[in-house]
Amino acid sequence: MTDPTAEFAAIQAMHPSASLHTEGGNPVVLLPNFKFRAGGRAVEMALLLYPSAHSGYVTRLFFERKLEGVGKSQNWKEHTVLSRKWWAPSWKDVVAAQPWTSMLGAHLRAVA
Amino acid sequence: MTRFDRQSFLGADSESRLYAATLGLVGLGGGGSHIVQQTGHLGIGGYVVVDPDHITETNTNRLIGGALADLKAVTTKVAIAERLIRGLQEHPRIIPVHDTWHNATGELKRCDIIVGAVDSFKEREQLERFARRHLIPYIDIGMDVHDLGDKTYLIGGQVILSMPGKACIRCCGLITEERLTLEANKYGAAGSRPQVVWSNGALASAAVGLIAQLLTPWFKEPPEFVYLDYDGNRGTLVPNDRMELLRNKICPHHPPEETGDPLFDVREFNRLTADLALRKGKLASTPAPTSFWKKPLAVIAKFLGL
Ligand SMILES: [Zn+2]
Repeated sequence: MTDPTAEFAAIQAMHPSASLHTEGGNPVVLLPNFKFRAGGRAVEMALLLYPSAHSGYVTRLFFERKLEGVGKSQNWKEHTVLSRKWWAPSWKDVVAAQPWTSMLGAHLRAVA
Repeated sequence: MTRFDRQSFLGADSESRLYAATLGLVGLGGGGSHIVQQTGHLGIGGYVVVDPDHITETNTNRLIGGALADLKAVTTKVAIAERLIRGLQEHPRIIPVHDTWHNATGELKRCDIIVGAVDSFKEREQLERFARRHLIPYIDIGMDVHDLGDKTYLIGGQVILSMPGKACIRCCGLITEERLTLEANKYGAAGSRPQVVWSNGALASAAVGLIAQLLTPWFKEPPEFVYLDYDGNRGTLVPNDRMELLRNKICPHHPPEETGDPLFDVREFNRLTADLALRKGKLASTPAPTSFWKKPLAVIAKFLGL
């Protein structure tokens, strides 16, 4: 079991405007204006890392906008988390037992 | 004499209370369309009706208010719902959202009660969570046909009233990680599951009964948690075995500190909020006076222990 405080601190060191929230008692990390590469291009948008089971997946990363057809991602669906709408592709098996920073990278590989 | 004379037992001011109420209705298919029709008759005044689809031929075995001519016209389900309500009421307040409910949260947030008549476990869980965050009573209806083999089929279903602070649909066992995983893996794919008009009607009728209990003075002690099981083969709708056990359970899935809009102050979302406000202006076909959008205060006060 990972320690959410330590994991969040590591995320915040990388992205200072990150904030920690909870949904159903589970920690959720909001990453506003996160810069990453998608389909070979630079993209900036809010991301939401859900480091435990959600909607049938062991962990999830939600995107502010849909990046349909980008990278290996497919089957983008809408979700409401923290009372806001998000998009997530079908990207399975990013395990919960790993540092949140690695988890974020593993999810972003869906759109790389 | 008014058109509501025969339901005056619901309470002296039940007519105005029902007219003042706003119902959020997510999913206007087999189950939801019955609720539209019945609440229109009952005299509910405000509606946020949400569905991204239009009528198709396979809907016509159960979509209340839908006509064969709507197939050719490719009428949306929200338009059918709006037509049904306007046929029963002179001055309804209707916000039709021809989109998924994820794009209607700004509108749904202001409802007194939200009813979910949706297909998937994922949608139900997220809709209930959204309702809880905003202290709105949520009613879930759903039916299924189980193949027992040997050409035997069992129609089953449930009606759950999920109130802030009380047992939720996860507490009831309707939502489990296993079901969510199966659904995500498409084994439990929704969409073409068997559905029949009378079972949808039985479940919807029970839900409308709960709406009347919550909104009118008919019940001195309105229900706080309800979990009914439908057996369509026997034609019974009875309390689930666990209803009594769950009655006073404190739900661990929706902690009270998660009440409210968690990202209200986050600057990042100002733009999204502005988008919603714009959309709202576009969608509100009959603008509602603000006083009509109040939540049943008694319900909220109770939850907050006031
Ligand atoms: Zn619960």
